[in-house]
Amino acid sequence: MIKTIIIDDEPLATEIVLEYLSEFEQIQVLAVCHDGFAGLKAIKEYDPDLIFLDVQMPKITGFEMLELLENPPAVIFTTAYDEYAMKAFDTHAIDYLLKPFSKDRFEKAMEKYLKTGERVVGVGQDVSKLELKGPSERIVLKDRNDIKIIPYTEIIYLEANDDYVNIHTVDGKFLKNKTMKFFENDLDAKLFVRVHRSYIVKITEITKIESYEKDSYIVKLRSGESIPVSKSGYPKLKKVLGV
Amino acid sequence: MISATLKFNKANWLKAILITLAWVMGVAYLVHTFEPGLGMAALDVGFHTFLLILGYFFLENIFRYYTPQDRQFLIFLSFPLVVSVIIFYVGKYSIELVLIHQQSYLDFVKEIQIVKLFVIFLMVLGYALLLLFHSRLETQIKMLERAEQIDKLVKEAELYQLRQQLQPHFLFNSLNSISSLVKRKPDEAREMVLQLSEFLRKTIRKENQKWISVIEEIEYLQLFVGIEKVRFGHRLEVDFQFDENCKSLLLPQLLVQPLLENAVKHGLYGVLGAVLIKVSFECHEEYLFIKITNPFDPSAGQASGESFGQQAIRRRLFLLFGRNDLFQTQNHAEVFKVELKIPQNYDQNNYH
Repeated sequence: MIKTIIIDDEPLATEIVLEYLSEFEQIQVLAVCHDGFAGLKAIKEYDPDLIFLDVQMPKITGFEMLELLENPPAVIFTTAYDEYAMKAFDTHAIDYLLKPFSKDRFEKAMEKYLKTGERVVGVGQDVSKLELKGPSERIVLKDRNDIKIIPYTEIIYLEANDDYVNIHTVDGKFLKNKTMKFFENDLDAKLFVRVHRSYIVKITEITKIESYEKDSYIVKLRSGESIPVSKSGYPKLKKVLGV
Repeated sequence: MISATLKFNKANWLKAILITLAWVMGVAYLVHTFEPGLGMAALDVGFHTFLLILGYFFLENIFRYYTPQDRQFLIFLSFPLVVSVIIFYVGKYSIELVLIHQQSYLDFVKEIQIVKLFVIFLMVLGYALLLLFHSRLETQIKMLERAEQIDKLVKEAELYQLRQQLQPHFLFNSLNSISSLVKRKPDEAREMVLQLSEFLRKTIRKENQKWISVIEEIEYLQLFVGIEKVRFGHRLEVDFQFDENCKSLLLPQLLVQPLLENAVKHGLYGVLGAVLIKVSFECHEEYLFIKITNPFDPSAGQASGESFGQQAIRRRLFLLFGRNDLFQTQNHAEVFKVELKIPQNYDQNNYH
């Protein structure tokens, strides 16, 4: 049996997936969820092989939900938003169904899944390392058992931590499995500067730039912390600050 | 134009000086042919040219602050007249003072002084006309630019409206609902098709420019809500309220619906569970007040600042009423509120 979960915030949209799926005997639908949080819970509980996933959903999007999974199942996206198609294929989704979709189109997606086999290898890593264009404006991450949504506006600075990034906010420090490069591209370049290989700082948090030994500098933050500035980071910082 | 010469680069200065010199020498030679004495003629003409340039400078500064209107031709004429008379007398007495011993030259000058005054007047008048023409042209260009800007804004607003009318996501999701209903609940599917058709027909109706009554607007909004409730009925509740005495007041079309759609979207995607949207129409004094509230979660990282849709509404209100204070948004205690004010003492057939 193929364990399946449907996640979409519109009941009628889940019902048509159920209707189309009813002809696939090997499919076993274990749960129908109406938001990403319920989806996460169900995925944890049932460990499905395949999920049908809407993009625009309450609180967190389908993409953000996927990011929180360490070992995501195979995904078929179902959405009315065709602008997400590229992003969906970057996450190595099996297929991307544009609403409304025909039965034929749906069956094609299912064939694709059945042919490629149970799980697509490497989905997990690829999702977490996505370097997508277009600002996302917020970070969704797992903080112990809670899901935390951090708007970009609340970031004080970012610190590289192996394959992860430490996100420093007023509420404390959070770990996200994305790269510094991703954030450097995604954050507003007028506000955030990569002052060092391991640091991105929000310029409005800076209170002082001090010279530190020969040719190197540190910035003091409003929170009292000090961040090192590299040789290549200093001119970037000066440029953004306009000095 | 002389002020413009102040901004000239060196090459242009050189040209101006050369032209002035050529002018002085030419006229001096002309005078010399009637009364020998090229030096005196050159001095005379040179000095008068200098006075003329001063006069031009003076005129230019007057017309910079004062542009005579069509019917003030006499006033316009008086400036060059006064300037040329001053140039004439200053020139005359200065030359008499300097060339006091050249009686024959002075006699010659005295003989032609009427012609001289006339020539000076013509020169000054010509320049004044040029200045007037230039300033008119400038005003016209400025007016044209402003008209173009207004035109652009109107077009943008129309474009936005058009996009708003098409609402691809709303449409596709609604069609998906119909597709889902059609086999299992054909009656509901048909109901939804009818609702959607009526909503679309009202959205693209031709007399969009006309204002409609509060009651008509509410009917239209309820069509929209009806469709959204088919999609989100398990979560969505929209509460309409209006004062009895506001029922027949008028408002521009397609102003409230985008805001309601925004409220529904932010409510549904901003929080989990049930979403209550409140829409109210009230009237006080000369205004119709429309308020829409939706729940939101401040911690969810919704983009701050005005959305494109809100900016478009604000611009449209500005185009309609020339005011910027008719649209307000408020974030308070997990409730987002927008408020529109529609002035009632306004020409309600004038769209822009």
